[in-house]
Amino acid sequence: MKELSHITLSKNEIVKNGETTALPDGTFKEVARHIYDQLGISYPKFFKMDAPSKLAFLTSELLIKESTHSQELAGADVGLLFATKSGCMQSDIKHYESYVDDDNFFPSPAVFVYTLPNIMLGEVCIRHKIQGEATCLMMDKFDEKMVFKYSSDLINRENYRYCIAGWIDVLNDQFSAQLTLFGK
Amino acid sequence: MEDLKETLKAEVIETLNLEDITPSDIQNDTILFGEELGLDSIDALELIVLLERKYDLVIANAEEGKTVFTSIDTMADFIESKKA
Repeated sequence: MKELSHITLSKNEIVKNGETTALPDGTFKEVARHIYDQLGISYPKFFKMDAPSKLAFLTSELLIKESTHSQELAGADVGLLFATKSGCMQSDIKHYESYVDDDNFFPSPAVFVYTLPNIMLGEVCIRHKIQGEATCLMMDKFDEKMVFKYSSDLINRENYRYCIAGWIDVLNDQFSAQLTLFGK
Repeated sequence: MEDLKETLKAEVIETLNLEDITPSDIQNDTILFGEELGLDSIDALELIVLLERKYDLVIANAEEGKTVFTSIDTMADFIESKKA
């Protein structure tokens, strides 16, 4: 198994394959919008996503940007493996607040659909037509060894061509992400 | 009626998170679930909730929903018809 590309995203910087790009200050929503604009893509569905999905989407886009592999991710032999601590907590809270008051009971379908932590993988799958294993792991801290081993199994034993694996976590305006594109 | 249509455009944009779209981008007869706005089934459910929350109106069935949510014009017509 080879590590084809690696990226980390944190409050004020993106580091991709050793190269650092600064990020402006701001709320997560503002920083996410900045990255989206910098990517120069047109994907209106992005604006309907919750924070974890936006972070997963953007980090994946940055990971494979300008890569020869970006056009080769479609298929049942490409997998996703994302670990997270906060999961979809923000959406869970937002959904709860929409129905807890009997006098103002208006649950939002658009919020409800994001009340599962693995939906962020679904958004990346839809974008790149990934049809292989898509697993969301809940962890207190990122267990890089375990995720590496799992990815290795997918590539070496299950004969996957690629696996995008790593950590996606955002709660309120605190966010961190790191993804690796593994291949043969 | 024109005020209601402008209000509806703003409400649709806000409710459906249509970023980078302004009310002037939506014509009164724009087909809401056509290619232009890229709305999906979840957006349809959101519009149903919008009508109930803001206008206290309930869509009776799927067929009525298809008619009501054709355009801003049809949404406004529906709201006005229920006021009478």
